[in-house]
Amino acid sequence: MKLYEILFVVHPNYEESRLTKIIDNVKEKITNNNGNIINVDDMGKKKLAYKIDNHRYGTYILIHFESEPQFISEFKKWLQIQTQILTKIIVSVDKEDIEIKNKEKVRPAKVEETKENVDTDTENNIDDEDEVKVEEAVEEEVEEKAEDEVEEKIEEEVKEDSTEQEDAEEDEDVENKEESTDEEN
Amino acid sequence: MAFINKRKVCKFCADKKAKIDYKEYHDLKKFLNSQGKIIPRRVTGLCTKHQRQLVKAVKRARNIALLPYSYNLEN
Repeated sequence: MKLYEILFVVHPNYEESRLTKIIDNVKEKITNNNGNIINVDDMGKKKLAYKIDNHRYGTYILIHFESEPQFISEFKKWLQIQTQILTKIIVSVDKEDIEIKNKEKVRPAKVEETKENVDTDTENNIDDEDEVKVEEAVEEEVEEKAEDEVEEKIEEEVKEDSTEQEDAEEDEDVENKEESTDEEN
Repeated sequence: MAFINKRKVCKFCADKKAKIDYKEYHDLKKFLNSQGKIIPRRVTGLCTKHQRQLVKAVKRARNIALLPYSYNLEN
């Protein structure tokens, strides 16, 4: 078994569900021939350096996979028949290269800056969560000391708190997504 | 007059973290001239090993339409 990397360009009119269908077809072709898929990366729609079949744009998709060397020639022929795939390139790669790319998908010069930003942001988020939890605990203690009749109201308040907490978590998720998109850019 | 060694140091030998990859075509563009031709080793100052890797990467990038074969042709 050898490690390979395939980069292919999909027809620009194919997007979202139709694009995922094409990717799944390619994946199936690999897995049906005793191959393992390691990593799939959508590099997005890009302008081509020159026209291919009168198309100016195309979506680039990168797949790392493991397979027998005999399968590659057959795989290339199969890809050439597919009308949705404009061009392709298959290259054998080392294990180290893939591992590095999984960790840091950005160019090495920019990686240090982005990593620092991510670390600081996550720390801040954790601090916020801790503060929220402490506040809740204090509130609960105060409420326990109060009369039994109020218990029902407390439960309602707790529910509200939990909903608020969920909202806060959603916000954090959105922030994280934004960070990830920044890294990709 | 003493001889002064003006030979440039290979960029990729100096910075071992920088790798030559055909997918990072923005970095490869620095090694092309205005026509889209690969600039010779005599000018770029790269060592033999890295110039060879660079040429391979540029040709792969051209094949997959990340870099043009020529800027002069009407695209």
